[in-house]
Amino acid sequence: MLGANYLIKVLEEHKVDTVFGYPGGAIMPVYDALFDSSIKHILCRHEQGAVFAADGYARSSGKLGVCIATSGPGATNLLTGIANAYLDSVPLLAITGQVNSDLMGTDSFQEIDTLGLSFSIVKHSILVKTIDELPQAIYQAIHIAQEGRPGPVLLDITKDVQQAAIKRVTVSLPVSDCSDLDEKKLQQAKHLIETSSRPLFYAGGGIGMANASTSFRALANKLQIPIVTTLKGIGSVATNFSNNLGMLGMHGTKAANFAVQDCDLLIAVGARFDDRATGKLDEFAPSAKVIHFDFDKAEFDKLKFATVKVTGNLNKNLQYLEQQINCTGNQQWLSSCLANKRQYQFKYSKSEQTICASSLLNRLSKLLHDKPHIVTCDVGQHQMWVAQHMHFQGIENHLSSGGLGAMGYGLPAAIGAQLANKDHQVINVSGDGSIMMNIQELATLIRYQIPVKILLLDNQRLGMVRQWQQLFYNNRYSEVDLSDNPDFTLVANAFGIRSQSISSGMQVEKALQQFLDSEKSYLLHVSIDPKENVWPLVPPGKNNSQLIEGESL
Amino acid sequence: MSRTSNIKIIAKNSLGSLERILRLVRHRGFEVSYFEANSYDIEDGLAITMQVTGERQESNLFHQLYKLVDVIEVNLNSHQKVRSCLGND
Repeated sequence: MLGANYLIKVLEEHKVDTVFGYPGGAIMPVYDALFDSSIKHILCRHEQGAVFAADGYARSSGKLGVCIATSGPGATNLLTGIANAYLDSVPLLAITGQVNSDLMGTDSFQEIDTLGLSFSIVKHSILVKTIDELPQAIYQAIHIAQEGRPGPVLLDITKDVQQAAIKRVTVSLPVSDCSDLDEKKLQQAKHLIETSSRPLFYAGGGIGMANASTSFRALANKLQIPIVTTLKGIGSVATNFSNNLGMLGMHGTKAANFAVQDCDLLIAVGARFDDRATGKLDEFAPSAKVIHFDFDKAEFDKLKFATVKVTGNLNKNLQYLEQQINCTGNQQWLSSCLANKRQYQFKYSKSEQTICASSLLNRLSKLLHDKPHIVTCDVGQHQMWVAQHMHFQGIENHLSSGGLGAMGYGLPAAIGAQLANKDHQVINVSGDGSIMMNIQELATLIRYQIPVKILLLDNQRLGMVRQWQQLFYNNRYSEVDLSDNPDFTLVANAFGIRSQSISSGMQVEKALQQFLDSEKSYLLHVSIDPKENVWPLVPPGKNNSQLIEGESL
Repeated sequence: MSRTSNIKIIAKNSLGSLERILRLVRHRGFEVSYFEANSYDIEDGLAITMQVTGERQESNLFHQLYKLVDVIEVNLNSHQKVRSCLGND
């Protein structure tokens, strides 16, 4: 058996049924092996599309995402997507072809030092230069991507190895960490929770990665402690759960940010104190002791000192606490947080003339409510409006490029999510800047008849940059005008995708129904006011209670 | 205020393992003022001695280094040590 065939065989053994990629010279033996395999290969139209699709597949299913590219430009085009998976801890295997081992280091055609490029954006990377190294490398890569805190692993395989016959297979994998519960730390956490007056859960994406939503919800329900979530933590409890105050941070809700500033105990669960969440770090949760649950010890005290640090299996830790603690939180504190939630809840206006993005998204969310669905975002104003105004039942229903903030993520991620969740309505909410970053993937929708819907909010601007230039750069609008956008409905039609454009409030209801009723992919183009801003906003350098608000249009 | 720390690392001598360690030290906010690497008496092993200076918590660097797949053991200032399996700090 050749190395390339062996690679595909091991992927099949690991129940990989779908991979995303783009062929080229140095990866041709792998594509030849794929030709006879049971694995479905999705040909994306750019390697960045392939890696984002694999990311969306992984996030929405909890399974390993796999993407394949050739050497040189194929590999460099993957890098943004690999970095995205690294910063959001997504289990991803990126397989790249490399030139023959005897040509490496000679600047041969499509040769680049892919291993060297990978170091800062992977959990691990392996260059395979001899056939005897291949079996161990493949098994190790698959294992590392998924164990502990997940992340991307790059497997760079020279073409001669792909074409060489496997001689011997010896594989040894490290034993996964299965350390016992740290009962001492958990008892300390219990004591802090029982003696605090104003405890608050700060729920992050780690809850989803640990598949611990059920345990977290049970604990939160029992303790009756208010909850704030990060962007990636959205869905860790249902948006409409009574004690959920919403997202914290730069574009968080007032209720969430005020609770963080007032709490005396912050219970961080799979969250990493990202600057977009904390605002001015020195003034973040200033009166609070911190309990920090995280699998990754490197997150402890990285940005905020934690009095109690609990590592290990999050599910078991949360279940232990739920069994041990019998008290419930301070009712007066909870009531005060919920009063803020009511007082500062978002309000939705109806206009017959213009379309307000937040109202539209909230309406879409209501129409989707009882149907299984996944929403993927790109990056910018629309991403924050989705986080603020749409409702999510589960953490895997909301896919957003959180750490890297990569425009162009949404459409390919939706492709991956739809292929992993065939019974779900998958919607990509995008902006007119972001959609152009990977618009070639419309061809992938058509090629495989993938019924992803695209809701395109078009303000003819790079809206978030424009908003910052307005607020913090004295209205000096530098390179944000996109008023020469193409007619997106015609672009969609050119790819064979049905589309519609709306620009007035009167059109919204009917258009959303048509959008959702379509059995095939569909693009709904929505013209919104270029001056619409995302509110509230915590200005840079300010703490989360110093948020500002402007008028909604 | 800058602090100087002495770090001893035992690592597998895999392709790129030295680069990974040095890259991480730089990226996490430390400068290397002394570096020595020798073969170690396990198969394909490396024994690395480093002196680094930085303003950030050295414990964070310690845990970041230990996350590298090739790193087997990290010993910080001869008193904080992690070996082979997670759990000791």
